[in-house]
Amino acid sequence: MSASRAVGELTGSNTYAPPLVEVEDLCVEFRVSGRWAAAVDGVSLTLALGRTLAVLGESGSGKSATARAMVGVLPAGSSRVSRGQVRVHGRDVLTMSSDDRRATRGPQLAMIFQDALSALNPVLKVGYQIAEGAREHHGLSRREGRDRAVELLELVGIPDARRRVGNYPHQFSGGMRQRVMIATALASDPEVLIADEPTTALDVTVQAQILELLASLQADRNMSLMLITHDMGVVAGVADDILVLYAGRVAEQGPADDVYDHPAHPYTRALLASIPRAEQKGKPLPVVGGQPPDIANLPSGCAFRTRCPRAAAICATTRPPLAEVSPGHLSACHFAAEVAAS
Amino acid sequence: MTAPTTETAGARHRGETVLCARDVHRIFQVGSWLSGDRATVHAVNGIDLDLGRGETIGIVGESGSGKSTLAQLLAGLDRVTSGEIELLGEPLHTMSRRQLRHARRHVQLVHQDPFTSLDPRMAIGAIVREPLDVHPDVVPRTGRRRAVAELLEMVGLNPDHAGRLPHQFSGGQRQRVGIARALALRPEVLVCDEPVSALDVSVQAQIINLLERLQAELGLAYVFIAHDLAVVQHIADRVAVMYLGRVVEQGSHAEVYDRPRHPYTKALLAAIPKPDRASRHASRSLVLRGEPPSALDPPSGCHFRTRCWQAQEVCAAQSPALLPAEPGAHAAACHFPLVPAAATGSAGAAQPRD
Amino acid sequence: MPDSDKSIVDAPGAARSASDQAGGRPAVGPLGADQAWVAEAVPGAVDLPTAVPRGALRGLLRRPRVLFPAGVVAMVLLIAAFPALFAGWFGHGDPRECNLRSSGQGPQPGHPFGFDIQGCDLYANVVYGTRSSVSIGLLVTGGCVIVAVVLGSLAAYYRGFVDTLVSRTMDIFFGFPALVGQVVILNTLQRRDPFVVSAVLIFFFWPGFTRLMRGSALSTVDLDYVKAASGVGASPLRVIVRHVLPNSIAPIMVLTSLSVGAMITAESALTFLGVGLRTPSISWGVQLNLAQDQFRTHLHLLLFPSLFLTITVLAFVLLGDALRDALDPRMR
Repeated sequence: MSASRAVGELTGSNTYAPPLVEVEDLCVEFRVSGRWAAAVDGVSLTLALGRTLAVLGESGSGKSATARAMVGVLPAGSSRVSRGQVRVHGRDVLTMSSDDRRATRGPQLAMIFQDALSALNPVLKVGYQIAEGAREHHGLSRREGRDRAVELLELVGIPDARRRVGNYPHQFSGGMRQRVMIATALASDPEVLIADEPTTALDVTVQAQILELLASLQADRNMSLMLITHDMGVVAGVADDILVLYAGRVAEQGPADDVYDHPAHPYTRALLASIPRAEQKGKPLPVVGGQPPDIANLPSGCAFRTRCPRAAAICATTRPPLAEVSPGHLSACHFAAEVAAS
Repeated sequence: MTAPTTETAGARHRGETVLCARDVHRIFQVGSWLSGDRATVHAVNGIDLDLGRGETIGIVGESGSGKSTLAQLLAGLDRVTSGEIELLGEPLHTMSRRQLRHARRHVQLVHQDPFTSLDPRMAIGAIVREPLDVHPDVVPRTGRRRAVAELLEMVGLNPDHAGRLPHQFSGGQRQRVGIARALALRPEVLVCDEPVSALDVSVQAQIINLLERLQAELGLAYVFIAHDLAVVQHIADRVAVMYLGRVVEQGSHAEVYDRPRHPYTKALLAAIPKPDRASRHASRSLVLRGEPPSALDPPSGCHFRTRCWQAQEVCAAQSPALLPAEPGAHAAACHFPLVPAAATGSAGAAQPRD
Repeated sequence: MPDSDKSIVDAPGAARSASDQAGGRPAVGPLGADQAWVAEAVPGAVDLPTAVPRGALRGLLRRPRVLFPAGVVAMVLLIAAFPALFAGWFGHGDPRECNLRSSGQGPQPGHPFGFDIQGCDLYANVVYGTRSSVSIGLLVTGGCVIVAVVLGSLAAYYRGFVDTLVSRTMDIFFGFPALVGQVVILNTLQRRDPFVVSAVLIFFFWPGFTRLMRGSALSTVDLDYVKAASGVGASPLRVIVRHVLPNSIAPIMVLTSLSVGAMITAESALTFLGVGLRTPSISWGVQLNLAQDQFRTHLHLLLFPSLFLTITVLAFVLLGDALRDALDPRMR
């Protein structure tokens, strides 16, 4: 276990936690009909031990691209990181050699994906895949690896782990597969776990289980958790910090309590309001009007202005800077203060 | 919108019945005799349904509940193994292929996946037009272009984009195209098979609003299928909760949401995400253990008993019938239906029915 | 024993509504979750792999990789269609004007390829040979594609008995040694014109095409939009022709170009073995057959026909290769 984690445990608090991962001004571009367009544009975030960051946004907001850029698994050829730094323990992983980078994946950064069925190798037994990470980074023997796999399966709540470690991915149901994927990610004892829409493809009752599992694992191991999702309701109970993305840009970020109680960006407001509630029956649901943006063709100035009820002239001419509304709470809106107050 | 009517099991509603199902069963044979692992799956196990003109019935169920199979049956795309389905009074289950073709004008399916429900090589205008070409007597040839433009406008799309291909649209817009296609023949009933599941939460609201507006304007009746109660709570007049092929609870919107009687319904209600951080912790206590069991090998008696916190011996022995817990209540299939507690947070004391 | 993951609907390869499969609902279609997030961010970046992307063919000819083989293929087709235009470039241009006195002579002015053993102008013969060889190549490929499209799509659409019939028949053919079969059949037949040879080749090569078409169509037939078309009330014919075929025909299109070359070679091989075309037919295979004993002393007899054959087949194969890469959505 690294020194910073030990410190965190000694002090017993997680209000101040030294940042593990710092992303600064990250810019990821995709190739669209011959041109490069920014799918992530100037995103900065921090991941600290023991804290959960929820990254929210619609499809196409750049949340997946951000995570994949951090871990280094962007689709080759059609995408590139054009700017920015991703510092893990102070070292910029984007400029590392590929060997060094690979060494960070596992013990430092681990990622789980939305669809466990395609993220797990269908022709390899589950135990093998889980132990792969452990053997690679901790030099365990095959037998030790297998035992560790059983241990991890039990940890993530798979019953009859000793027998199931020899099963193939398709022999598990969706929720179980997701747990297996979590076990695979945990095998190398990561400090940071990035979960890309871990519950979107699951049944509702199973979603709650998986979120609970992630929360308890995070607490027990004092990990940092980055949850990516498009559903504000899902992360309400678990997030410590929130980052809202729109069209690849940061719309709002800050401590979860601040963002939920005093949203300072019209988009965040709209997201919160569009969660269906029974009391609204009989009236149309409040929606974010319009269509998700096309990153190759963003509106000038503020990307959200074409769907924003408060859009004014300045929104078309000037891209709003990410400015502080209250300590730690930032918003990229010309009218952030008014939005937060209302 | 409509004045709420007090409703009981078996659902009375205003207006005529447009779609009705009685004791519908659908059994699949899985596997082949060659490979030796034949099995039967009782995907739909005795469903009764009654849909009136202009109303929406929400059918909620998780994996393995058989809701998608039911959607196919109600839309006439699959044949029932036994039972009856009547569309506008005509028996759907015994129709010949030719009659079915004609029946398509009255019931249409809205598909779940906006990525695969549209032919990627056809312009959206052509996609919406196809039903009109297949049934040439609905709109004469000369009027079809105009009809397509109207349909696109009706679902909130720009008719000038009729020449564009599906991949040039977002998921939400594609779903609108799917709805326009379903409306082309002006059906009375739309069976919506999880129409918003593949969409972002923010887009879901748009589509639900669209469906509601269309219902008000065109007098459509919806069978709205979803996998959780959150999605359906805004649009449904009545709700049926399915588990492993059976309906476990059925009643009006108010009855199911405010006074759930079946433990599974309660669990589903608890799983509705609330942005309110405080109430989130309260409902944590109701996280169900385990997963929906396999439809190939369902538990004996009450299928839900393996995950139910109040399961008793009788639950394994006898399958509970879908009946009102007491006269005047709505129907629930449980030996120990929950007594509605004053506060919604607690699990409610259970009272055996027999 | 796989417990909760059996698809409820009995259909091999049914990527059916996974909401009825225990544990998950499809958040995405055949693109997979891995691609869907790219698709949402960049509409148009990802396409279903078996569809021919619309407008893809337009920009194709601009790439040199496609342009050169296409040029050669066009040239060859031109020669095959109008051999008289090309045969007379150097000499008299009549392949049947033979003078035994010139037998076996090498290249000389007026006769760039020299003379064959009969004393006929080899250049004219090679040029005229293009016609039968290429036409057999096209005929066989065309025939196989027609059979494959019909049988493959029917098998995929109707499944059940039709599929079993088609598949088992294909299996029988696959199990049969093709070359031996061709030799035996051609040996028993008396007529050896290009149509007969083509028919025999089609008879043995249709399963390969059909298997490819069936596989491609199988993955298309389960997609929602095909079901939606039947749901609207479209007849099976309409559904197959308008929806299934255009979306599953891309692999066959690529195979077509590759196979023209292969069929030309196949005919040449058969003729070389003595069971294909015979004199007085003019084809490269015939020329190669006649050259096999003589080439040690008269190298030009072997060299020029095989050069033409190689260049033609290579052009078709390269064109097919380039087409496949151009149509591959990942490369765009």
